[in-house]
Amino acid sequence: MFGMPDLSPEDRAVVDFAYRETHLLNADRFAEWITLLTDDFEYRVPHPELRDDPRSSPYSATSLLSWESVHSLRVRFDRLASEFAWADRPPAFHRRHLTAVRVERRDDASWSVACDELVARSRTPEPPQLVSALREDLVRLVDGELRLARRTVFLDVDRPDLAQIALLF
Amino acid sequence: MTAAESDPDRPRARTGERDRPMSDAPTPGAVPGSFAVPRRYFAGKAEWEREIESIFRHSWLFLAHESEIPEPGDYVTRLMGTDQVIVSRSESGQVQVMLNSCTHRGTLLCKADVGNASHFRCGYHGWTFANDGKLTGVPRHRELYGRDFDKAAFGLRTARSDIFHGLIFATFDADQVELREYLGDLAFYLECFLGVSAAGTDAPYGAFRFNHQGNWKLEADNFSGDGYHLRHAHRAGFDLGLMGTQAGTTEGVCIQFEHGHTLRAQRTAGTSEAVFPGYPEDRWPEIQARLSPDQVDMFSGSTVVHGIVFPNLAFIHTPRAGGFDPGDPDAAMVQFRLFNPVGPDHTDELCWLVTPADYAPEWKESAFKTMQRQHGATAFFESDDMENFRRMLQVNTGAETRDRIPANFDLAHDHAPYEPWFDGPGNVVGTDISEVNQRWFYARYLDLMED
Ligand code: FES
Ligand SMILES: [Fe+2]
Repeated sequence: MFGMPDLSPEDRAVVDFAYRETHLLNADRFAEWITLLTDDFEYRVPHPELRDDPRSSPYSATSLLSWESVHSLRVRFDRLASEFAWADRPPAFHRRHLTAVRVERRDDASWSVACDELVARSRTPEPPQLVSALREDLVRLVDGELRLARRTVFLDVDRPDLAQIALLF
Repeated sequence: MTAAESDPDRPRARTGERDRPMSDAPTPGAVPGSFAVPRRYFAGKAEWEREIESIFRHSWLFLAHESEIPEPGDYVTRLMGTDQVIVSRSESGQVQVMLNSCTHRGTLLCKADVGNASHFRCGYHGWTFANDGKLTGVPRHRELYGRDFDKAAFGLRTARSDIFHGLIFATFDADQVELREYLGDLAFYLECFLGVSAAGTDAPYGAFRFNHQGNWKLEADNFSGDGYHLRHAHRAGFDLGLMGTQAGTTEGVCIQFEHGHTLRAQRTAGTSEAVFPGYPEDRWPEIQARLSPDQVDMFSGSTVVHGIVFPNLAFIHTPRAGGFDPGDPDAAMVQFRLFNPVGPDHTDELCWLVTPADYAPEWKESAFKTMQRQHGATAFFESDDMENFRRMLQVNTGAETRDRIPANFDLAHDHAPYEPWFDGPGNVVGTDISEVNQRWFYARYLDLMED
């Protein structure tokens, strides 16, 4: 593919996997998306925290804006399917755009995946949002299938509004 | 004991609306009448400016947990109402709260959220302040300002600050009572969960901060004691089995305190022994020894305690059997939640998990997960509340709506089905579904606003 001439077939499959699972989120196909997670999957959004020194990390080492597991995500999706998901009825317009998907093989059965992500969301009366983030994933082979084992979202926003972090990245 | 009766300066409700006068008595049992708050208080710019002047400049305001700045030089930057402040630990170990504004021409002095510094140097002309607020450096000051220039007159304006079980509060009002007196009888209840360990408290994950659309009072109102919204706004939480012990047979109370604080508590009905769900059983003897017998009565079998420190700090304590993920230990979650009005329609919010300092890391982690998933920035419990707050904002600017339809707080004037199971201070009303606490909060609010 353009810009990624030397991907092995295995690495290529991991890039395809990233696009496929992100498409499922865009399409609200959560029941299918959740089957792509490992049992020990964790989703974290580190808390942005500005420090004076540009060499230090702009994210807190301890505090998080979000921390989800398969169990907690299942509860989230069950709520979305219920009649009582007030904050999601009517639902928001939303779309995730991935660019520059990078894969790096860690060992025989796992890959680090990073991509730049732009998430658009709009739902009156909240102003339309366009949020950029670095998304870092760990992808593993489980019984011969690719599975998402970890996702960490580094927001490019120093003081997020709730409307900017309402979606899964 | 009733704070309401003993306090001659207790808040008086005001007539806030042409056609719907409020009751003279915000507590139930007295003259039942309509208690309404005009909508302009939730949307108007002039009202917001008056809140800052009349309430925020005079109240004790929460800022940080001491454990966020453990070492000399550590600091965080926060808000007191609309004022930017630095909360720092000086070289001598004292906590200082100072206006974050250079005394020369006023630039924001410290632009980071968190850090460590012995000095803050202004980015404009280079005045330098020590982390206790003293002006220590003025470039070429002898040559340009002369020998008589008095640096001591140009230190950063420092607030009165005090610490309650690790919680740092401050006020710029020299006439405000001491913090302990301001908290008053609420301290009895806060100590039930802040005082359980001899090691004190800790905010092991620090703070997280976000903004949202909504008027700050709606959060105070909600946390002050809105037991009514739970089974509707948070219906999904009950249906999905996330409310744990709160879903069983419970009894509850709503309590009002001087200075506008409130608390709502529930426990498992009929608890007779000293049991502390969510706390490791081997720590129960310590809890029992550290709390007074009345506090043990109050806190035993607790399923939820929440309330507000007037004006803008909420707290919630909820034990969760079994933790949030399979295999996690039981843990009691204590969240403190601060909402600063950056405008009538915009709130800057900070949240902390507060734990006993010496509990096991696994226990703290389980409590943190519960906090993230129940009351975190992306937790759907909160999102369903925030949805209501922003939808209120959306209509509060409508002219006919704003002028004609006040916010109503009439719920449960005489409704008090439970006999309080403990002997504790404050005005204790035997109900867990009532707007008595909201009436108390708004009565205090209107009293300060209309004085
Ligand atoms: S404004 Fe700070 S030194 Fe001039
Ligand atoms: Fe709520």
